[in-house]
Amino acid sequence: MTKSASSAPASAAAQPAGDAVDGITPQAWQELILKRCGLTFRHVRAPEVIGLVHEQMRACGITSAAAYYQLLSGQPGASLEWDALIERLTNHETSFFRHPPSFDALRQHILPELRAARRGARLSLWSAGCSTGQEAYSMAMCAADDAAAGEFTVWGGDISHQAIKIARLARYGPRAIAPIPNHYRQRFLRPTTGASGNEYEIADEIRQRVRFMTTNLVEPDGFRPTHDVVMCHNVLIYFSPAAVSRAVSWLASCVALGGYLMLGPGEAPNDRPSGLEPVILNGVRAYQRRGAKPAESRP
Amino acid sequence: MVRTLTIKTREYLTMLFVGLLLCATAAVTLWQITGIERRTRDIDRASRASATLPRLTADMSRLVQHERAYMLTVARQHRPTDDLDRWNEAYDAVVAALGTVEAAAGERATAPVRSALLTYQREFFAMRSRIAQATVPPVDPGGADGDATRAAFAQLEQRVDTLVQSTTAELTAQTAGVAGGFSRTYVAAAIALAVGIIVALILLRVAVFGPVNAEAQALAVVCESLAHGDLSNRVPSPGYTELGRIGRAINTMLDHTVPLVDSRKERDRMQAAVMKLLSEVSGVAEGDLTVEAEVTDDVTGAVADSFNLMIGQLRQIIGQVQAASRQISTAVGELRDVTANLATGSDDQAAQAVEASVAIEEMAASIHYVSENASSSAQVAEQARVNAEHGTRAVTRTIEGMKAMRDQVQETAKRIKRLGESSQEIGEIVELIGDIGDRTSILALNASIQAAMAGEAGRGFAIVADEVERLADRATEATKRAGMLVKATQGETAEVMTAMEDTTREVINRSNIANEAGVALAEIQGVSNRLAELLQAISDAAQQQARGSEQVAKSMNEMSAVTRSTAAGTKQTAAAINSLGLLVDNLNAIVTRFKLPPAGAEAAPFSQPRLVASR
Repeated sequence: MTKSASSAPASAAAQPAGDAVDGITPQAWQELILKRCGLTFRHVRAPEVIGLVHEQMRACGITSAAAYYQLLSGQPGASLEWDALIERLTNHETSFFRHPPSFDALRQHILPELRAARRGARLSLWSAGCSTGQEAYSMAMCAADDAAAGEFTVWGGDISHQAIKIARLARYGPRAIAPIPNHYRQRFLRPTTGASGNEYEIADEIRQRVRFMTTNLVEPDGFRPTHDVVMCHNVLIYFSPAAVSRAVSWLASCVALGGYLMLGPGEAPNDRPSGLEPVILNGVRAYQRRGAKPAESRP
Repeated sequence: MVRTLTIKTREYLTMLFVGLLLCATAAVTLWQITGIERRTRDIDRASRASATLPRLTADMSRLVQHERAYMLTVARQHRPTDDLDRWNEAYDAVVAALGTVEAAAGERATAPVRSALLTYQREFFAMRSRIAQATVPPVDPGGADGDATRAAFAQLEQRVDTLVQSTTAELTAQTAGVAGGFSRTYVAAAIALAVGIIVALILLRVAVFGPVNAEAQALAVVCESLAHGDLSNRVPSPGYTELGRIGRAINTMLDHTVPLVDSRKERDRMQAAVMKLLSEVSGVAEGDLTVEAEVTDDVTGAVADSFNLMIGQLRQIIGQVQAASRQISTAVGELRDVTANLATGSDDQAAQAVEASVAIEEMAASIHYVSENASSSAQVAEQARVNAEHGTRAVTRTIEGMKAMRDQVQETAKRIKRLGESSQEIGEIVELIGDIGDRTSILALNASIQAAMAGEAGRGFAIVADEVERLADRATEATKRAGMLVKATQGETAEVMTAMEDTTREVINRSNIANEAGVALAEIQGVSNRLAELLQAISDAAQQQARGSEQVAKSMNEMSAVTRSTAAGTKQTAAAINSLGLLVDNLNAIVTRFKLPPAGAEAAPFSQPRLVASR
């Protein structure tokens, strides 16, 4: 989901840090963004971020920073204006099978275990912060790979509407698909011709099992589905420690009994997710919700 | 010299000359007329003088009347009269009249009159002063006293008469002179005009009409002969007039025309040769460089030879140009491919740079997160180290307590042991006392026997012996009890000792365990220290890395900007090369229009190595 700003144009960094514009200091902006999206920015990026905010402000025809601040303060994090701003502030970097050991662990350990425990019930997997969809499709490929694959659904969630749009399109360029293992490529990709030359389309077999929606991990709406596998890679790194705690506890609360939470390598939170036990699978750390027999956790 | 003048110049000169003649005639006439005019002026003056003369004579007569009147008055009355004033007025009138005459007739004519008038005035004044001084008695004005005055006046009259006569004579003479002057003027003008006309006519004949006529005549002769086809005649010694120039031109034209007419056959032949040459070389105009002109003996042969030489050079050059153009075309084709690839490549590169910069941005964020985590880990490790230190201190205190306890237990055990040993001794003493009791009992028995043997004497002694025996029995009894008690004490002491030994062992065990715990905790502390250091190092490194990654991210952003502009530049280059390709194609089309002999036939092909080297 929320990943902080992509390569911003150099002009965006024109506003020096520490100078208040219309009485709104960069700190005030950062605090507001932190409060609403949990996004935090490294000190060096502060001027760039303020530049991006001002850019978006001009884009919606507002000339006074104070007025824009008022507008944003008065709206919830899921509003259209916040969406537009977040589009500018977030980083959409992702790739297929980004951290291969995690996917190996998913395929070799987690999925077989869950299938055995769920006795053929439909598995629900969540790619939290899927960006342009690669992670969700990678999870789906892993889940579909097994000969004994049962029914499953992969949910992809991101705060960026733009990224979700691209994810739903399910078309990727030659460079994007390079990390996909060969046999997956042959099985799950269909070459096609897009606007920018050769493109590859995700096969219907996979596409039909992947759903995308926008999600805000810091300000979640009331809807709390539970998933058997929650994967959240390279998202927490953009959050403040408080937002990390909130997001991790939210993610943890979405893990079904017996299910797993998989965070990115190096993204281990300071506090262990409540109710989850750390396990090491294939050298990858994951957190499992233990308790009653996993099979009974799903009605 | 006259021959070199053009007709126009001659015309101008003649007109100038005639003009000069007319001027001379006019000058002569004018001169004559001036003489007449002068005379006329003289006549005018003379006539004006003669007109003023009567006035003079009239005034003079008035003067003499006043003189007479004065004389008469003075002579009669000897007193001043107003006649003198009237005389003075009359004198002034005479002087004025004389001035008028003088203005008309000139000073020279009136000078005698004036001197005579002055003489008269002097005489009159002299006479008047004589009268005034009465040196002379009043006289008869007609008498001797007035003689001098009368003589002076007479002279004055005479001179006026002379003047009148001379004036009249001059008037007559002048009038006659004017008449003569007019007749002279007519004659002089007529003569001058006649001479001028004659001279002008002669000059016209000699300088203009004569030469022009002669030249026109000569031209006419030559032209007539030309009209008859005779080209041998020439205009003889043509002059420098316009006609002379025509003549020279005709001469030159004829000189030039004659050889042409003479060489008509030659010309025909040459024309044929030139036509042949032309037909031979006309292919060149269409780009055919294979043609060779035939080298004949005549002049066209030399031309053909030169032409062949030139075509040879041209062939070589065109061959080289074609070869070069083909190579350029190939090179440009390659270049076009390369730049097209390059353009595609740099587009890809730009896209990749953007992706990379996004990825690096994410990496920087990740590293930053790790760095933050590492610093909090370092804090946690530090906390662990502090806790371990506290633990170690607690364990150390525990061990010390254990040690003290063990020492105390050991001390107690020793005391109890000593207690056991003491009770042993007590037991031995009690045994000794028992033995003594036993022996005492035996002694008492012996004594009672002895007493019994001694009879009554020994009765008291027997009682004492009994008493001693009882005492000995009680002592033995007591020592038995004491021995039992000592034995019991000893057994308990041994039990206590065993228990104490167990306790000591336990304490030692415990303190060993505590020691081990202390060692373990010390190790933990060491490890914690090391861990804290390592984590600090990791944290430092992570921060370093974070800073580095910020740099990388920044550089990457810049690089991606540069790459984008490079991509744009490459596209422009590709476009430029494309247009270069079109130009080269054009060049190729142009040079391939030239037809060359088959390859190899021509020497000196284009030097390929140079081109390769220059590439």
